[in-house]
Amino acid sequence: MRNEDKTKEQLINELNELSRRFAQMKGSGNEELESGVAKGEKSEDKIHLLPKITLEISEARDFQSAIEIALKNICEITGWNYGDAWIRSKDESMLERIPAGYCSSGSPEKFKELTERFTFPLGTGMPGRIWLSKKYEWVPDVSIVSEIDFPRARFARDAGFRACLGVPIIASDEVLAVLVFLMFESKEEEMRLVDFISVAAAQLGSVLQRKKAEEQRREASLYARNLIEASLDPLVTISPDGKVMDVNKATEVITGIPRERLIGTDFSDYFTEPENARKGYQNVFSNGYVRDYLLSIRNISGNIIDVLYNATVYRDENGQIMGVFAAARDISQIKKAEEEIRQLNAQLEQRVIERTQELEAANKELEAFSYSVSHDLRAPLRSIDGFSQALLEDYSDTLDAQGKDYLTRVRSASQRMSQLIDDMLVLSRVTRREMKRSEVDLSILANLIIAELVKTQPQRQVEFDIASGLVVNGDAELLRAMLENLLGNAWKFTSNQKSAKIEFGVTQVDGLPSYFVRDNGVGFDMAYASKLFQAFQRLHLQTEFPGTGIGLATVKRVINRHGGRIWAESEAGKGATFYFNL
Amino acid sequence: MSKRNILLVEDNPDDVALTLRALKKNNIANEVIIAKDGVEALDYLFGEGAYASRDASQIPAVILLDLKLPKVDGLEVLERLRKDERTKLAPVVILTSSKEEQDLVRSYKLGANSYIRKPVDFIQFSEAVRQLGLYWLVLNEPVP
Repeated sequence: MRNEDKTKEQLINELNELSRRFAQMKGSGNEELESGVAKGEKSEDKIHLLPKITLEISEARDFQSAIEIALKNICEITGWNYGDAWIRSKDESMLERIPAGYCSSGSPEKFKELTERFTFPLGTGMPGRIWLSKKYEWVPDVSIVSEIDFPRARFARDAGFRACLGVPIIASDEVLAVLVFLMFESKEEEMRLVDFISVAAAQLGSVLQRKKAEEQRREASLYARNLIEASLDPLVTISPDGKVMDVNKATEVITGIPRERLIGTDFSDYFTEPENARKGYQNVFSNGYVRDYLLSIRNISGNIIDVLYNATVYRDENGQIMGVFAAARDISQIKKAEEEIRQLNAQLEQRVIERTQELEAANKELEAFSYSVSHDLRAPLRSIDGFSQALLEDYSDTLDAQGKDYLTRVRSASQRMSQLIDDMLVLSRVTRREMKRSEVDLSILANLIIAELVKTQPQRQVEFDIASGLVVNGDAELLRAMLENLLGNAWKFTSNQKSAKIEFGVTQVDGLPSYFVRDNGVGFDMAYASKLFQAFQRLHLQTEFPGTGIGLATVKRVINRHGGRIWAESEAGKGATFYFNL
Repeated sequence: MSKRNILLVEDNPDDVALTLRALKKNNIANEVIIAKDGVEALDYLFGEGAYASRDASQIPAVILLDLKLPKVDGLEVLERLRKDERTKLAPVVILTSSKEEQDLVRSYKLGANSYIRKPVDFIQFSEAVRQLGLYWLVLNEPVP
């Protein structure tokens, strides 16, 4: 409001100055003006009216109504019957009439209506010419001029208009509008009138320019305001003494308090920790800004909303700090999500701990079980075997051949069961055993195992082909158990072969190094390949090849624990190849 | 000089019978004292309880100790033996069904002199007892 007051005050001064100059002009004996005035136009009155008109114009709501006021006043004072105004179209390509205009009582509205849609390219018609020339034009009688010079001539003639005056409104050497006046009588150019209107137009120009600038400012301000209001983040300006100066819609929403009750109150009152809030904006005043300053808003319903503040100082035109502009970001959802994640993690952690404990308990139980198995299942077997042997030795003379055969069967069955127990324990140990990874030379292991095998049946003729330097990363104990089984099987299933051959090597399968144990023994039917690695599954009769059916299950577990894969290829009678990768 | 005793700590009567038979088969004629659990074994060794009248300074030639025993188990018996001055150096042979590594390791840590796993095959067992007798009863010089 203060700015506007200033403008009005300036305006009045300017107008008073203008009136004074007019009076001087009159006093200095400007003949033409004097004669015009003397013709009874009461121009003195009119001149005195100029400040009043200009004041009225300056108080107009906007550019358009300012022009309307100007047209009306000029027409009424200087005796024109009709007035309209031309401005540049939005795309600036031509001139178009503004809706506002003036028609004295009794003048035909029809002319106004008919020429409503008229446009003038720059340089064409009276408004177009004046726009470029920036000079007024006076036509004593439009009814006799060509339509080329005056495109509206015919309509003007039909409406009964004769004299015509066009005046540019200029401000800062720029044409803002062109005013066109018409009257019913024909009239030669009258300097006095032109002067009056030109002076009025010049005044109008500066007023209009101000109006226009004001409008632009208002538009810009409205634009900025709309932006501020459209923000989903609560925005607030804070005065140096910590009062809320301005807020946007989002601030009203987050606090639940209407802006008129927010403005003028203490900014820090709306937070769970007012002292912290105060420190926040004081930081901005001293450092110029804060980034991601965490505060918690307590809204009208008592709910607490976590927000991050980003704020800077803002200054007036002279660089003086006016206040703090602060934007909050509601992070309650993010915080909630974080909290949920934290809780889920904690739950997960707890579950892992529980599962681990359960697993540990299960493992302990399993250990106790296998300990018990290894002791308690074996004891009766020992009795069965031991007393059978005692019978065979101590009562051999009273037992016939069949009796001895039965006892021998009892003994071999108990020993077989003992072997089963041992193998099961190995299998369970392979599962339970803690993995100790290191570099393991499979070639060396294979040679050691083969040496042991050869010792058991030194008379056998077996050709070995063991690739050297097959080093892998794994658990040496488990890998030994695996190779013992694979090579042991190869040894066992080639036992009927006259020239047995056992290979251990490496090949590439699907781009991975795959180790293999190959023999030329009895092999197996691939139809049963799926049963190979299951515990207690056997593809051969006990009488053909002894075994417990646990060896390959153990091998598979070892491979599984190394994250590898094992598979076999064979054809009955043509040997078998077991491949594995780790 | 009368032969020193053998203390057999074993709760399973079948195993007792088989062990005695194996000893006999291998011509080991030392008297065998049977303790059916850990408490009985300790009572015998320290001259306590039912063996209060026994001269506890007489240490067996060898103690054959099963691990899984009622009341006080074999490892605890071993631990107590090794803590007592009188029995600190007595030869102890663990004779057990267990093949568990942990038992083996703990036995040796507690000061067992030997560890024999009872095989199911009696012939193997008999052979083990023979070697045991040969070493502890014939070759080994008793602790003075």
